[in-house]
Amino acid sequence: MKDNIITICKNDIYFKRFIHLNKSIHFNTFTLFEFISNELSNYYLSSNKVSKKIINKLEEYIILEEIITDEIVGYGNQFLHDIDSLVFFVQNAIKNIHEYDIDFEDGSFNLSVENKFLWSVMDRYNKYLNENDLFTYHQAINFFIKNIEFDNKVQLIGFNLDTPLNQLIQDKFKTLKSNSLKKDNDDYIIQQFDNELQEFNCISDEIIRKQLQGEKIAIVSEDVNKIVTTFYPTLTSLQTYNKEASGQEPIRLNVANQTALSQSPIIRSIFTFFDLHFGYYVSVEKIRHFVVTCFQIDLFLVSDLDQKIKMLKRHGVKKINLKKFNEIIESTPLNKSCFEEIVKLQSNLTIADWGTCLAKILESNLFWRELKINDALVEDLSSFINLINKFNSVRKLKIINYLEFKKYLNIILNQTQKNFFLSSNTIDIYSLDDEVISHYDTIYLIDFIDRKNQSSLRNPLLPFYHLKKINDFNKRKVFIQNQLNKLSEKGNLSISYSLLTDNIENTIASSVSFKEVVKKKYSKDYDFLHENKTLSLDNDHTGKTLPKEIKNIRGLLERLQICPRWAFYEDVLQCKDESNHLTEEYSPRLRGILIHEALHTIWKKLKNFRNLNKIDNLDEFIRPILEMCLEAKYEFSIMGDSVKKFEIEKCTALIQELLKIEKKRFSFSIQSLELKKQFIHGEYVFDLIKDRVDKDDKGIHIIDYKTGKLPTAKSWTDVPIKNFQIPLYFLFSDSDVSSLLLYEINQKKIAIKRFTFKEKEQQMADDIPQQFINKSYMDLKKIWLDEINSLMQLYKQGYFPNSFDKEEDLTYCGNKILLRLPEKKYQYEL
Amino acid sequence: MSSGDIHNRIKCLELKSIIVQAPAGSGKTELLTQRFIKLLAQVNSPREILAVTFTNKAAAEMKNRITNYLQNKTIPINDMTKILIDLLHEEIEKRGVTVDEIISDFNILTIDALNQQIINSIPLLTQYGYQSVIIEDAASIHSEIIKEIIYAEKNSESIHKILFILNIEFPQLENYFLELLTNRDKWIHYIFDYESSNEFDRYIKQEEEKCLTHFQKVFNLNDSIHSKKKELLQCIDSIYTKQKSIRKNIKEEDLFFFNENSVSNVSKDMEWPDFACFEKEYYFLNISNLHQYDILKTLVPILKEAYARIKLHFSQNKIIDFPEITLQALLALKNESGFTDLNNYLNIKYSHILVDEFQDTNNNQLQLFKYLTHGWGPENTFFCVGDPMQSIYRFRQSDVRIFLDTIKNGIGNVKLNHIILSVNNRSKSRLIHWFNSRFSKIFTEQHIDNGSIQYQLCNPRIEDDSGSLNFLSYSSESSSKPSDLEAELICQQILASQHESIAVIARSRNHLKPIVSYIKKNYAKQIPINAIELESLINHQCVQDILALTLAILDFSDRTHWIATIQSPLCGLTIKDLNILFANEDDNIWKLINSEKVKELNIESQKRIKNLIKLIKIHYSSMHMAKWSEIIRSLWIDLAGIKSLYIKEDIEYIDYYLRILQKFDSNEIDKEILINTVTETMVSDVNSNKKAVSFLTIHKSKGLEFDHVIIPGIDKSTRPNIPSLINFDHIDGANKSISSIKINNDEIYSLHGYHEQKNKIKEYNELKRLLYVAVTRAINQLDLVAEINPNNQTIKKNTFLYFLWDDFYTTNPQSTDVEKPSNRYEKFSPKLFKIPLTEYINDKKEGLVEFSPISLKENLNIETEEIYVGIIVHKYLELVHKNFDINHHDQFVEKMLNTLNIDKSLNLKEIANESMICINNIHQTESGRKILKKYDNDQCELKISIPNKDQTNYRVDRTFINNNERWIIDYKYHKEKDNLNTLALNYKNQLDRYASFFNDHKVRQFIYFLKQGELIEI
Repeated sequence: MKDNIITICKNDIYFKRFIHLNKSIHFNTFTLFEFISNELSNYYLSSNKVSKKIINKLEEYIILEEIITDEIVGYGNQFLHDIDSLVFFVQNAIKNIHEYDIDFEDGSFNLSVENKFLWSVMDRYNKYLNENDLFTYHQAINFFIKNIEFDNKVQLIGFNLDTPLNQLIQDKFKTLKSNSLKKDNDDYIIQQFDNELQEFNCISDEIIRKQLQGEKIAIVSEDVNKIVTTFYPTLTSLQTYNKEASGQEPIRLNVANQTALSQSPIIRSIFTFFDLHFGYYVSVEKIRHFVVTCFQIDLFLVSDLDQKIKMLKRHGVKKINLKKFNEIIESTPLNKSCFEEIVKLQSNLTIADWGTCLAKILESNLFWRELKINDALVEDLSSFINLINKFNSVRKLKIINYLEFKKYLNIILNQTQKNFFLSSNTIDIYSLDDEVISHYDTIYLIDFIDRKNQSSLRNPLLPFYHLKKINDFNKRKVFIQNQLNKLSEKGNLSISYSLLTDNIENTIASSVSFKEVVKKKYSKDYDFLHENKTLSLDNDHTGKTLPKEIKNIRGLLERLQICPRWAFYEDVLQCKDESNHLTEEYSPRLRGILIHEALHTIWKKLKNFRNLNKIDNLDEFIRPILEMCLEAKYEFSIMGDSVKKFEIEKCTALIQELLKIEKKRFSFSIQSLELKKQFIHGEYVFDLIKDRVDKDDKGIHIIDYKTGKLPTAKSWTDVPIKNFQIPLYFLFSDSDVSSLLLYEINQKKIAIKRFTFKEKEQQMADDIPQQFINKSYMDLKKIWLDEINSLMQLYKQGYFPNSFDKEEDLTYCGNKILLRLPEKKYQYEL
Repeated sequence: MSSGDIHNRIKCLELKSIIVQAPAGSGKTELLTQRFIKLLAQVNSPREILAVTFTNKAAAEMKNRITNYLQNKTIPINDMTKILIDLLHEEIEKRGVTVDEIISDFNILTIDALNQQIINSIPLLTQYGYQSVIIEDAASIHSEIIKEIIYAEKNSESIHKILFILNIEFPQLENYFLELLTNRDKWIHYIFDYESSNEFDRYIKQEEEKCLTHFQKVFNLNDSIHSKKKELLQCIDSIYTKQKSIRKNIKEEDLFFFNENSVSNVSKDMEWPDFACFEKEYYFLNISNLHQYDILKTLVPILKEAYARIKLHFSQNKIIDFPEITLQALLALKNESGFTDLNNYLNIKYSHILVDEFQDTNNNQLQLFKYLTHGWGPENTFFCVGDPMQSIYRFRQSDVRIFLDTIKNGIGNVKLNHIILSVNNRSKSRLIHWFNSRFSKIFTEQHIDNGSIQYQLCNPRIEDDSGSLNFLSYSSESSSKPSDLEAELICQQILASQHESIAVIARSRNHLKPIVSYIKKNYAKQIPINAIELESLINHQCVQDILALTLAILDFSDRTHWIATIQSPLCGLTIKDLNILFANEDDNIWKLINSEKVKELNIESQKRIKNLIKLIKIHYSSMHMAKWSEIIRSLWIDLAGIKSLYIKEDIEYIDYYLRILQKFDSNEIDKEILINTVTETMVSDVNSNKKAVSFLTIHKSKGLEFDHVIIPGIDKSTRPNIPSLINFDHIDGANKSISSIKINNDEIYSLHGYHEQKNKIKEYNELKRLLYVAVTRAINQLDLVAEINPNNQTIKKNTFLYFLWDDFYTTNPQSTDVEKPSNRYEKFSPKLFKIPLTEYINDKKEGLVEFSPISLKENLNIETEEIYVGIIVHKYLELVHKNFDINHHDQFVEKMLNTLNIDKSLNLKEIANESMICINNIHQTESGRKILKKYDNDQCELKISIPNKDQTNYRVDRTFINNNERWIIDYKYHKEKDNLNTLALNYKNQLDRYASFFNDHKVRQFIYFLKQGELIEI
């Protein structure tokens, strides 16, 4: 044990890193915050002064938010302002003012609107702090430096930037100088790449190799965020694609401030849980996430849930509340008692009470005794509980509701770092401003360029005059000159940068002299690709006789005609189009159903032509029928009131016009309406519904309502038959049919079109436009039957080749992905 | 180079405001670079110069060029540049600054970046903080908002009205609104300007007046008809038939109106003017354009609401899109109270501005430049270069008229000198001569209003006979597909080409796709290609497989994607297997593959299914990673995904896909959005071969050059754009903004139809420029390819061929006899694949980790009086050890009570009393005094941190070395007195733990009972 040495780390991250990297027991190691607040409390406890406390992060946020919201009046609609950002800027400004010893009272804060704003917010904030005996963290540090005596030996970690504040801190403590090896050599080799991807790929490759040999590696970069989002995938993908490395424990990046606790799945789940309990509607995706996170091992449970969610979505339900949730889990093995509704006692509480309240709910009510989660999540959960317990020290007597509290909680959770993974395969990431605190085998200084245009790092509230002082560019220059040597003391240094990338302007950091710039090109080593060992499958036969009952004969035939494999997927395996059109309030499909439904009802009432003719005011007649249909059918419940109203108007107009045309027909009576019939064809049984069949002097007429486009005559008379609906109508009619009437009912056109066959070529004398088919009914029947029989033969044999003429024929194929339409290039290679 | 041109280039460097009209290949970037360097020597700080480019790439290139010159990394070829650089170096030396300081202050950026910079600098004024993330495509957000609005009950009246008048349905209206909101930067300020709606009304009336005046002239009527529009139209109806001819039997009474209002005499036998000469005006008046005002009044509140919701959504979610950036930046520079002081916000006043590609400026950008140059004096300069013949970004609202107008009127108050450059350094002379002769016929007249421009002649750098130009045609009488013929023809050209860089450039992706796929099919070895963003990511089989896997994992009820996964090489079941397992079974797939049914499969298939189930279970249990991309990646790898790849480039597509997935990492994935994103992502072919032939669209080819350019599909047109619901026009006419609103789906001569017609003309003029851009990419050889059918000589107007028609005939185009390409692949017959069973990495993965229900450390301590007494006394002891003087114990206790913020339900008095007892004990008992003494290596409240997973910290109350023995003492507070020895033993574990941290001496462990004042050794 070392003699009474105290180690102070600049922050929690340095603390954790220090503890972790040195892998031994540490005596008296503190974060600066911990240390200062302890000393401060000791000082006040033993003196006669009124004690001051360091303001808590949450409290600071709330106070600043109040002040800013108040100040913002006069700058336009306050609801549209990004208050969060403004608070952030002010907090950042406070930090910088202390860190860089900026004179807050000099005239520069009077220049622009934004500067003035900052000044007045900070002024009010300082007054508030004074009145309430509070310190900002930085004020506390200053106070400590000026007023409290301290004479222990101290080792400082993470204070290497020469900011005025760091200087003061270093002066205050009798710091231990680490015995550094002074190197005079400042000549470095820098690797230059054409683009970032090459740089990342090359470096990743190297890192993986070294990692495999057990080297300790650190990465230093200016843009840590980018390293994680762009570089990390490169690193891991190389690892997984690399023969040697795959199978190894994956590499983890140890990054400060990267993942906020709020991103932890368990925390997100807990919010779902709270939301439900406080009576809110939660999206079904969140529910799923909740169940998956908390009961993940039970995949049957998850698959059941998915099935239920699908049903909900089908009915347009995207969010559910606790009641519905309880219904959903009714039949699952989840312990339902955990989700019993909580009486909404606490609609408004103080912040402190909210913390206690949520903790209590978690503790007492909890489903968590049944939670099946792993250690990492347990960690997150316990950090969360620690955090909300701390809220009871926020004395702010602000009474808020759950949503407001949730907002604050989220802000704090966003600022709280999730524990990082401590595994053997960790690489430490540092930003250029960080102090590298341990020795590494290799340190990679990557992406080493000046990105000058760092306007995003600027705090727009601070006067430019001062910004210059803290300007990152200047800072970085100092870094480059002084710190490169320091870095090279900590490990072998490898420096690299990339030239042009498409979206970033860059210049090479040039304030360091380089012995040599090595231009590098990287070509990927595709050792993962072994010779193609995939096997081709003979895959056209299912070899089984298929079920005899067929629900949608027409679809089946049409699909078999275009591509038998499609028919297999859709009609045998029942893979239907899963797209979301069902959840739209308005869809042409619903319009179609409504019109069919309404016409059905109308003719059920009217029964014949005579009754239609008696009606003078069609509008009055149709409207109530439509209203009734809309209410009667469950499918329409997805429509909102506005759409319903519109549909009534629109369909009344459409049907009215149609009926006007019907009035021009010869007198007829209705023979059948929506007649559902079961037919037996060979071994197969299938259902068929005819919209309507009319009867008049000339005979029987089959009627079909089309709310979309009318099919061309060619599509059902010429081989190959593209449309099987009409042939089926004819084939399965008991009596001799004289004509087919297609009713076109859409916004573009309302019309009736009559089709008659060659042998029945008699002019109907009504006003309905007529088309003659130049084949006789008997010939057609033969064609149709042949066609259907040969297709059914395929079906019967279980022969489903994947063949089609044109890709466009598959436009309506909802499961194209199953057809595995290959990229054209592979197709040609085979 | 002609002396005139050299002279003009020198003039471009003068310190004046200048607009340079420079043809393709005239070295615009170098010119800008020169001027930038020249200005650098003049200004106090480089920050005063702002250079604006069209793309990030151009910005980077310019910046790099200057940087390299300055750092002497490249030596300029151009003599003028050399001189300027030398001068600048001298100046830099004189001022005693470093080159790097100069470089670091460069302001070379795109206009979007500039806008963003402005916004970031003034969060208060713009209401956007810098935490706002820019989203490239806000369409999904807009769609959501539009849906909310148009389906809202409260808007139903207005929405229905619009739907009925336009005779459209909800989805179409959604599309119209989406178009409007996406381009809201061009109209939003007018919507919010109350005045403008009245202005719009006035404008319509004014247009009607114009029509009436026309009638007045045609029919020789007097002024009174201006108030008799209705009667006029009626009268015309009685004279002309619906077929637009004059009625045979016009009645006298029909002429009453004319008699009344005519200047001259009217008779029914008079010579009536032809209907055609007033047809447009007739329809114009007849289709009630006043409806438009009515619709506008209905529309405005809805659009306002939509905009408000967008803003709210943006601010709540901390995002922003490009239109909003543009709008806010403009607003920030000038608001109701006039120009804001930019100097204070950006901390810089730009004194010189340089703009590249000025012909592609749109109205908002122009406005921005006006604001930035506001209040400029003669010492400030605005410099822009561009080529109106290359303005091809109408779809981004760029307007060639701005360039023409700027030549005339300048920018704001800044007048510009107009300089024309004429030397094209790029193309060889034959090509240039053809450009001159051809395009002077195409770009005939300058007409600011409809965006047509006059051709500007250009000269070759060296006059010789180099360069070649070919018009290639084919006819598709034979049975082969025309696209195959064309592709074959192009392949022949490429194979015969002597040139280094070859590019095939077309109007749209769809023109290029069949050619690319033909080459892949027939010439994969001979012709390496580099297709730039031609194909969607989803077209790659490996991406489809991993996408199916992702969707399956996300939703167990997704039958299609589950079966797709099971069928894919990742599992590799045959369709026979699928039939056994799933035919006519409604249950969900997960249940089915876990059911007894699996046993009906053959052994190998059973193994495959089991492997899939096992791996999915394992990876589901790693959901704590919370990163979808990670889970999917490792699952895919474990399912031997790599082995399922065909070619090495596939891995790039997988990486691409995983990067997309990464964007969803921290949230619930929306399936639709994921599928859309993957579908809409266009990827380039990965090809490292330098000699690869580039395939790209004209828009993508901007700023590039190639030795040999082939332009296929000269005869092909592209799909027309969907017309907008509202027509806007900024320059046409004086002060109006909204020129017309669509009122009927098939309107022809309404105001809107009239403007649509005008738009078509502008589009047609842009087509000419598009052709110009395409052909001027060529350095040496240019091949134009068209399908010409001798039997059918009609040429569609919106094709390039329309302009080149006579070239293809008079020059006697090479009638190429293309060999009939083989028809080996008439039908798609894709095969299914599977990976051999042995290739799955089965044994490497450890089995499933079973999680027991969690055991959380008890953090939820119940607060009791006892705990607080403990805390207070511990603190007291700590302070005493650290030599703080505490004179009044009661005061100390009181302060502690205040600091601790104790739950009010607890008995404070008791805590205080108990604490006092303990403190007194310390001073009064022998054990207490022992503890108070100073020892060697004395520590109190010693913090010990252990680097394990949860970073445990321990506090040792007191430890010291006494007679070569380490003493470890822990303080405990217990109310009860009895049996302290047994009680102390309870803490044995804790003290053992402490002891383990020290290995320097023999350890003795003690508990000090505070209330009792007894020190007990364990």
